[in-house]
Amino acid sequence: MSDRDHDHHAETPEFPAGVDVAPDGIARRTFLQLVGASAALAASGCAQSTPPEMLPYHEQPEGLVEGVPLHYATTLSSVDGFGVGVVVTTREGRPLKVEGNPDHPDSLGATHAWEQAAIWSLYDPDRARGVARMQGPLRVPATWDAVTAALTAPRSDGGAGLRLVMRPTTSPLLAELLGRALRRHPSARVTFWSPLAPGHARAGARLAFGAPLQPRYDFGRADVIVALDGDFLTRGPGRIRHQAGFAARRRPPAMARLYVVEPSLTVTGGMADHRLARPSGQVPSIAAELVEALLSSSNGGAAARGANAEALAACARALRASAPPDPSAGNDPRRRAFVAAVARDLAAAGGRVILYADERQPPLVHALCHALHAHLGAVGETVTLHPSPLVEDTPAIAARALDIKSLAGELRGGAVDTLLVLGGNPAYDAPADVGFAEAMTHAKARVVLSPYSDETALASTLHVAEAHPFESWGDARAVDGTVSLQQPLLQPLDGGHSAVELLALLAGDAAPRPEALLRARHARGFAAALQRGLLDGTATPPTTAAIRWSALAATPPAPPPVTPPPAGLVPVEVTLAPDASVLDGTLANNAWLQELPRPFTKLTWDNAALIGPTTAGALGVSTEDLIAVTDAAGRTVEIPALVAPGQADGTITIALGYGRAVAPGIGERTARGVGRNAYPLLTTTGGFLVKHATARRVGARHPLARTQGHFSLEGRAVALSTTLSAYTARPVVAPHLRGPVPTLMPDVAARDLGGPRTNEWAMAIDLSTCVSCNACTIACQAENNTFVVGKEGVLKGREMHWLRIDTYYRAPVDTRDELERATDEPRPIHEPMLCQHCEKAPCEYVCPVNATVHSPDGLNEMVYNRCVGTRFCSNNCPYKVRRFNWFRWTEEVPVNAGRISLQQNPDVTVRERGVMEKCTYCVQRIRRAEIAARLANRPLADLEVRTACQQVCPSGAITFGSLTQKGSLVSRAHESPRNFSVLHELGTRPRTQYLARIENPTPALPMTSSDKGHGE
Amino acid sequence: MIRDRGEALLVGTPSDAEISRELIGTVYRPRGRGFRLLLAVALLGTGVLFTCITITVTVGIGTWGNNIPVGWAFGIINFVWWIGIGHAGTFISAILYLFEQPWRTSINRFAEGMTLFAVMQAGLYPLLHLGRPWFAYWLIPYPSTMGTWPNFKSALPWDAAAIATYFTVSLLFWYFGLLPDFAACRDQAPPEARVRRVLYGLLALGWRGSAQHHRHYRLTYGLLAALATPLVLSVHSIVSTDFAITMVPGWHSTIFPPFFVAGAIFSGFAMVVTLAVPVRRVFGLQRVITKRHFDAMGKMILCTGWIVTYSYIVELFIAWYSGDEAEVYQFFIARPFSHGSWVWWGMMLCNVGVTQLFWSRRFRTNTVLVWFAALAINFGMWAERYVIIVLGLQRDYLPSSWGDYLPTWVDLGLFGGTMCFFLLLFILFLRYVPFIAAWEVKELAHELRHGHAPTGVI
Amino acid sequence: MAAPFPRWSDTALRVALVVIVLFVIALVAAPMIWMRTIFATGQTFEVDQPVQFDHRHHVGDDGIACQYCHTQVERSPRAGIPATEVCMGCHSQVWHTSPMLEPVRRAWMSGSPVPWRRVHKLPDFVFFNHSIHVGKGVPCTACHGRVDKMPLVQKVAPLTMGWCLDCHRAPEQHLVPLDRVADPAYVPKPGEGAELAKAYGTRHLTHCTTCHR
Repeated sequence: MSDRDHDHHAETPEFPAGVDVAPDGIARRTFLQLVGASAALAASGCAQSTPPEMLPYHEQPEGLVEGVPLHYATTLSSVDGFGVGVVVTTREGRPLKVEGNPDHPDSLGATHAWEQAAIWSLYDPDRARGVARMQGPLRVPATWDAVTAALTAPRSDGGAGLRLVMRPTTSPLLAELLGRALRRHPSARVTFWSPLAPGHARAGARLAFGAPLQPRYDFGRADVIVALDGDFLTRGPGRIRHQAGFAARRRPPAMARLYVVEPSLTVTGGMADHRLARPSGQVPSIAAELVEALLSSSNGGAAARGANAEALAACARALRASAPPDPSAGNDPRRRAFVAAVARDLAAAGGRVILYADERQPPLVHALCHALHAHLGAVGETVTLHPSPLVEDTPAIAARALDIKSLAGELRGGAVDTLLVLGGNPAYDAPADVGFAEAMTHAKARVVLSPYSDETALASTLHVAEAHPFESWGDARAVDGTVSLQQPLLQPLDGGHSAVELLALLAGDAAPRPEALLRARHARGFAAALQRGLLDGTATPPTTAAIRWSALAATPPAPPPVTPPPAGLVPVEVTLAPDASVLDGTLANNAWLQELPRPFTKLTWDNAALIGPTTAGALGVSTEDLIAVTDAAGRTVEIPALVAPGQADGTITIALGYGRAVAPGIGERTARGVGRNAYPLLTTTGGFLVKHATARRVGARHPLARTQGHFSLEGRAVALSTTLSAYTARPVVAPHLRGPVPTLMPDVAARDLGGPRTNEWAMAIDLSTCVSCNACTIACQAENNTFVVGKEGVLKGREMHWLRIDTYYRAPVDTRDELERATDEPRPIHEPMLCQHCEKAPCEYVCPVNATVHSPDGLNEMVYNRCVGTRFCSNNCPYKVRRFNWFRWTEEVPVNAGRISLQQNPDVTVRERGVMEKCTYCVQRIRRAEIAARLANRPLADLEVRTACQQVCPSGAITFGSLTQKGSLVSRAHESPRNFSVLHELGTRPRTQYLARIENPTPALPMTSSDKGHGE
Repeated sequence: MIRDRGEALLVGTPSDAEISRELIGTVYRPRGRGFRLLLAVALLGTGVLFTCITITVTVGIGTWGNNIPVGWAFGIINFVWWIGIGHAGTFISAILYLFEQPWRTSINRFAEGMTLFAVMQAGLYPLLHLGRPWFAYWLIPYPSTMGTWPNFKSALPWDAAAIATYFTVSLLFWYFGLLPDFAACRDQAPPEARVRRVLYGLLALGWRGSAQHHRHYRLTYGLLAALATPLVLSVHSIVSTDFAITMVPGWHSTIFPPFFVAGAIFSGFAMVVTLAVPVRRVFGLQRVITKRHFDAMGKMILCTGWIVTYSYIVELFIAWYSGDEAEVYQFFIARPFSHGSWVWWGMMLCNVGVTQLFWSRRFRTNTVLVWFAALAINFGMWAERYVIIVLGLQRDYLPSSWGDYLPTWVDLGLFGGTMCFFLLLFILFLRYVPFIAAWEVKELAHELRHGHAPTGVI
Repeated sequence: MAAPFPRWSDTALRVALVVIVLFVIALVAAPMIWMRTIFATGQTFEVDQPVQFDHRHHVGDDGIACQYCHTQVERSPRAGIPATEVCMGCHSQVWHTSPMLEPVRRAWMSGSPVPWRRVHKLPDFVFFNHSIHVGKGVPCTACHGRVDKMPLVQKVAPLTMGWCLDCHRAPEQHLVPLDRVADPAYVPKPGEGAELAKAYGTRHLTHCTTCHR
């Protein structure tokens, strides 16, 4: 940051006071301290490092109290364009931490990992600066005037040669500006492109209702949920609210039942009561079978709704026809039983059902889901329909929309002289058959707005650095249409600009003032909205659109794509999926996300081809073997294989977003060389599904950095689970794994810990609702200044995450290299593992220097500045939750140094090389709350202290509080019959305890292996 | 020629002059090419050692192969191994002295030297393996301005104390035993070696060998021996508590103290043999270090070897008998079959298998065979520490956190480096210090000549 | 052959031995003593400031309360260095031509702050919170001494961990009524501390995370 920020202060008086004075006064001092801290700590082992001087403010900023955080409500837009309301914590002008906005309908106070990681992107050192003319890979700095000139210049052709590319968005402001721009250039066209949203869901809605309605699901009310290759917990609009609602129905007694059909384990699939691992390509025919089963079943209500039945049957026929010939379907007893069971439950659920399909599935499947919702009476019960908040669906703009393939055609045709790309990276992520990178070079003027010098920026003539959402004004809608505002928290660090400004220019506004534009757009209640984060009364009422049964009945069966599989090679169906961390590649440069262990595979800093054990055997590959995946058109991707339990036979799943082709030294340095690019396999025809692909072993190997290598429970009672029926029959899970253990030692409660017992901090984690979305891991990282260690570090087993999510497969597996032998139904269970804060902590008595000791309020304290680094404590920790600073991470992994240190939480010590660290129960939050309460002479209330992981968890799986506060949530959780301690028999008396996972399988289906939990 | 049971303790009836020429004379012999060569190798290796130390201290423990879960590895393995080797020296010079074993006389001096140098190597590791070695002094109880003290419940402060004590006592014991021979060096100095005469003179602290000197000397030597004796048992017992007090599967065991002490003496004697054989050959000391000595040491190895073997069996039994999942897995699956299990098999082969060869007297008295067996046992005992520490940590309670270990070149450099550093110190000792207690040998010769030979039973 | 050593060498040797022993002892004792001297703790050394700000005058003569300039001490972990505007609040009227205040005026005009020198500095791993101390009756003087008698602020307390612990183990000895925390001259009556401790619910916080987080 530089002094120019301060100059801007005068121009923006309506800024929240003090927000933009970061460079001066305390902020700089704290910054110096932090940097000084790490440097000096490292140099002289916690010796005092006196900054030369103290710089006071010029004028004390109003409302700013040094050392006391300020919170600002703003909005982050997901890749699908929908907004998530967040509250950002700032200290002396530096944004430090993102929390969910409890008032926002699609956040409810929680976030996912991507929102948490946004803070890292803000300080990303690789972000492009300002405006530049591109000469090849060379960025020649240019002025804002260049952009103004390029965009405001009146056009003679009425915009015939002008084309826009935008990411899907729901922003009312952008909609307005885009409208104005298109009116100014009547023949200009706009393309909305995101590889993750090919629009199947909306097309399906159009089929069903004649309009692209946006369904809004209430999973809290659903008794039966059927996910047809659809990961509703971490994908698509409303994901966070989905998870909250779903979690609410995973706790006994009133539990929903979840059926999942999918090719490879997703977060949703991991929570399934019954899961059918089948290729995506089979899902349509499975859906068809489901419909037929429903109609044939006695109480399917077929008689009642004859017309519907006809239409449904027609859909089923169409689906069958469109689906590829699938020989296995006939002799697949498991599949038949599964479908029958689902049909029976759906029919019996009385409308409290949800069927959810992924963008991967063809529109007809989505249409069928809508039809079934209507047929079963779910509309209004669990599903409401809203007018699509997406800008591309507003009639005026839809009329001017252009799909990316035709756009490429026009570009090649030379009809386009000016191409304006507002966000997104089409040169990298457009389908292979579009060849956008080459096509866009045909336009004379190529103005690109993007945060990095990415593929598209490098192919541009004029590159405008895109400002981070925390640096710019804007807005976005939630699924129900609620508008939330996006306000800047600091001046753009790299002089970036926003799509709002560029569109305004295009609309003829020579000197756009985004803040003024936004205020004008939302005149009513703007100030209040800035405080609360969202505009009241902007939610759109549910529409009462009816299914167009007749139209559905007339759906022509789409002819199945027939491509003969090449002889001699093992044919596989490749499923392309957004990566659990970097999505479509937008977040590829985010070190936090890159190091975040992907669910199930626990893979970091890479993507891989997930292959089921059987198929791997057929191909003769094992994990880390490089394989060549070739599609019918001969496009090949070389990628390391990863043998993944739960992967459907004959399928390979590859995550998108990797293998960024950016020249060394420029652009996204963190992302470069990470993983392999799978976009060559993405086509406009096939979409995410690459049928009739082939795979073969290349011979070479490629090491994969994974944070967990052993997934079997080894029959140990570590992560407990049982079924609802068993639990209701005998509501106790593991009496032998709770309560006091026989000991000769004096009771720890009787031990005098020095000082009065104020609180007894404790935590409870519910395995029933933990879906392993990873939000907690990264929230902890953001809160506690945890460094990243890079691929090398992870390979050496040196990751620093204080909170990890262990995943075990309960299916019986071989004890050695078990992944190769796991069944296709691994039955995963997730167990967040962090410091257990044992009352009798094994780490404490072995530390030679008393660097880890117990506090009177029951915390296992880790004193970094006393630690000499014997690692004795880690050896003796049976939970292995302690982390060691093997290096001075700021030197070993440069991305930890420099600007990101502005993000570091000034309330948490930056750890030096050679000291041990671990979860502290966010002691800095505890102490802050205590001091506040004691100054006000009042006791702490329950939930007044919330740990970072607890606050972020969309499932509410983590409860934290004091056992001495009677009736506190955590004390009730500890008394729950589901409660147990991990490794209870060791007598460590952990304060972090777990609630056994309860599952709700239908008696209609045979229990898969070891359905009995350890509880019984 | 006088012999009590078996081989002679001393071949022939050498006069004091002969013994002096043979044993004291070594320090004044001209340096051979062999010596220079060996010195060069040792210096080179020592260079490597200090390079690796510098890297470790400046860059961090990350340069080692350690990780989570394997927090301890080569550092502690080598520490335990070296400190164990030291034990034989103290055992020979102190315990055998108190038991008046005549066969100790001609080997105790360099056994003590070995102890001293081994402890020096061992002492390096606990320092180096710290994340912040510059704060190592926090393990020592002293009144600090922070108002903090070490944690006396932990084994490590005691460990530090034990090593320090052990080194001090060994040094005193060794140096005190040297006094008369330093005096002899002083008195035998050829006229041209004036400087060294003075140096030896200083080291001799004015020893003149008067009857009074001898009376004081005997008393003190006995006292020091009595002081050193408990250390043989205590030091490695304390070291063993570094593991025994934890709850790591495979560490959490009450038999560790005796188990470790036996193992220490076992490996120590193996090392004495490893050193004695070449020394005897090079300096032609067949008269002084006889087959009888190897026979006796062989018996010690056999005996301690069996204690170790017994401990292995007990460990397995307890693991099975406890029924503890983690223990059972550790001993019956992890060690014999998981990553790095070949070390376990090597340990079994060397410590249990090779030891049995020592049943045969012909084997025990064949210096060549014994030498190779001793080498094997040295490896076996190192392997034992690897098995306990690394294999133990690789597979503990939560399967999710199981991990494997591989050493880095820095690990190997430090290990090889300490060996060379040890070699350096040892050959300098051989070159400049009378490495066999000449005065004790003379005494022995007299006793043997006048018939009343001590009836040490081995 | 002549004796290698003269008669006096025995004495020399004995002396040498004694010296060696003493040296070893000194080696251990010296640093422990040094750490307790003002040279190690930096006590009583006046720190030159860019402006010769005289607390003796402002606090002593003018009787300005600490919180008037250190405005946030009751709400914030930090006492805070007064913003330039606070200085100018008075000195735009009084002594507004004094050459001594030239740096302050320059700062006010240019907007670049006065680079004050730090006197009391805790390591970065120590989290001291002014508000809770002041809010529970710990007077400023307990740590900062009689600032009203200091021409230039100097460090009076060693600020070592041991020193902090002394008070945390027995805070009573220092407590004053809340309305007198900023009064440097106030002397607590005998036994008053104990009563206040009871009244304020003062705790004896000696566990690590009280200060280290």
